[in-house]
Amino acid sequence: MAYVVTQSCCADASCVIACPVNCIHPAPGEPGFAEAEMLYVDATACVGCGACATACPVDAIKPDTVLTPDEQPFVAINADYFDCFPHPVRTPLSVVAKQRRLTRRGPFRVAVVGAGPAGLYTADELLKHPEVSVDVYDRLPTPYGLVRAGVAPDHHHTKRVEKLFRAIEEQPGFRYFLGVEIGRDLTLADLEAQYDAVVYSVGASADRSLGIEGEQLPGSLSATDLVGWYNGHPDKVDLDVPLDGTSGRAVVVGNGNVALDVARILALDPAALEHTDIAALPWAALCRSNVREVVVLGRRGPADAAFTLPELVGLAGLAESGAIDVVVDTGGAPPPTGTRKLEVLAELAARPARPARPAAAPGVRRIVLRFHTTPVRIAGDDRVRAVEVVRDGTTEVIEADLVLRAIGYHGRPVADLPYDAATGTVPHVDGRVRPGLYVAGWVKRGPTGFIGTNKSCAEGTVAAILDDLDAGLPTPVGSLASIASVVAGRCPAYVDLAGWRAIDAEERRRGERRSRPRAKIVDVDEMARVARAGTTPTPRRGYPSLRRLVRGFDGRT
Amino acid sequence: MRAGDDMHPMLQRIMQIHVAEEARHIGFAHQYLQHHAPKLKRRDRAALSVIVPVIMKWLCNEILVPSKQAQRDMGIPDAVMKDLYWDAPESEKFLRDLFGDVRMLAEETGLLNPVSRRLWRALGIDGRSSRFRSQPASAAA
Repeated sequence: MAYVVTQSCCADASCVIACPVNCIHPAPGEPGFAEAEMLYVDATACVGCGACATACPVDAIKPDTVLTPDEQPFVAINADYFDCFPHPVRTPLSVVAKQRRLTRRGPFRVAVVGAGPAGLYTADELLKHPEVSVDVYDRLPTPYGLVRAGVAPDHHHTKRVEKLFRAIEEQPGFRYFLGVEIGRDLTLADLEAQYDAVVYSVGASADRSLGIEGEQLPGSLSATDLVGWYNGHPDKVDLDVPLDGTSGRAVVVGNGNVALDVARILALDPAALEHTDIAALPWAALCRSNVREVVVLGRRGPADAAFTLPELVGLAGLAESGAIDVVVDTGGAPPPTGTRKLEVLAELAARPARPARPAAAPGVRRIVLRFHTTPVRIAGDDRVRAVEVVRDGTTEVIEADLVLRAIGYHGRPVADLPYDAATGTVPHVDGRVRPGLYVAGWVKRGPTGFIGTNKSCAEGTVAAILDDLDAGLPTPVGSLASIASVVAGRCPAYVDLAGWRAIDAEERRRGERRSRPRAKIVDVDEMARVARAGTTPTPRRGYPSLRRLVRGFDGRT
Repeated sequence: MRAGDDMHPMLQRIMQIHVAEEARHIGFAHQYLQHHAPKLKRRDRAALSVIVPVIMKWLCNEILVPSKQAQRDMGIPDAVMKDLYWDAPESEKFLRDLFGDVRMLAEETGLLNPVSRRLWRALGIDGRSSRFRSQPASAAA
């Protein structure tokens, strides 16, 4: 029996360290890790001990005996990798750096701006040192960044990483200041005065534009905004998404994983999403949706498709089960072969076509993966009516009421920080902007990689912070208590860890009644209200103190 | 082996096979215990919760601490033995780090309660639990 890495792999790479025979590759630091779509288990070396499965934060690693039919292709995908990259020279175990200790005594305080995966992984790395305490700030009253507002609702496996984030939050020395915007409520100068080090992990919140005529018309949206909308991001609640158009078609420009996500959400039967954590109003809108066909445009051919193999396999599984009809349109050219990804695409293309008109197959909607097609103009009067595209020199018009651009995220300039407009990142060396100021995550390396990629990214940044702490940084003013009072003064409605737990519990409670994992609260004021109402003082430990045991009461209560 | 140190190839190969085999045993044992622990009677669980840390610490000493005979043969002074097992702060930390996985297992099988927690601490094997098997212990653990 061997273990297999499946679709939800997020490249966190804890499994690499857990493995007693070093059979999971590419490991962080090995060539190919940064570009890898997922990690792979070498079935010939695996001893089936299951240590990797306990380490995986998203439960992506499964024994090959319990795979569902949809997951079967991953056996071959794992094997393929080692056919190409056998990693013949391996250490018996993945090498772990010696436990690092700070040479100066501390205590040290670090502020992390942004409570997304990168921020939390950074906090986790810092809290490995008992001398360090970490305060995590976020603009919203809810943490977890794109895990909450970006991961598609039907990818519930990926959301299991929340369990890891919970464990990170529970550590001593961790505090939340949520609902506090750095640059508005507090400035970088405020933070630098009070902390030994400040880490920005604010992500890349904007998207790249197409730069074609008609892009600003109503109905032409950024896919990232749509993702925020159906995931209940408070800023995107009021997004105007025209799903009731007469053409019954939506066009997605770009064919990365975000493009596949939005295409899938638009094309899935809303009943399939009912028991996910999709936001309530967008779900109701999707139920009334007229969209029968989603066309996903790729500028180049199938060989250059930007989506990853695991996502394509997931889509192929949906096509196989009949939930979505998937059509591959290469413009008459036979689909190329050669890689596993192209083979899956070719299999999709070769599937017996469904009845030509959408009306003939009621209920089942269609995704068209169209290649070699470049949009040149979005046509319409007061809103989007059609997209003009060029393929092989001929111009075509695709009628559509909704055009989504999904050609990549792009970082916005961050207040008080330098900015590189070309990459949308903050210029840095090993995560260090200057001693005392650091970056991690997408704002550091650009919008690439998966949730777990942030772990190795954070390790790099934290190594730089520890080096500087050892070398000596200016001593900050104030104390942990004074920082809390400063934040409370500037931003009285801030949400702390107990507040977030209250919001989380309330969302789960509301969700339970409709058999959903959670019903998201999408209004910032309501979140703050729930957090305030639900904050009750909890004992420091989960068991009574000796004094309480002996005398029957606790001095603090 | 974790540190990537050079060692004799034969020793390395023996250790490699040993580690892999142990990993399977441990993997099976953890699964077995997680499966069966919920069926424990309250009284049995309470008894186990105090017996387990004692046995684990005793086994640890059996494996790691050289015997009196060995100490005499190698001529190790008593003070050094005392420091190494387990009085010096570095030794204390080393001992605590050894038990991360066992603490995780005890937590998962419901063997940690106020009484047994104090026992773990008294035996010098308390601390944070691993999040997963063979997670490297951190400075804060």
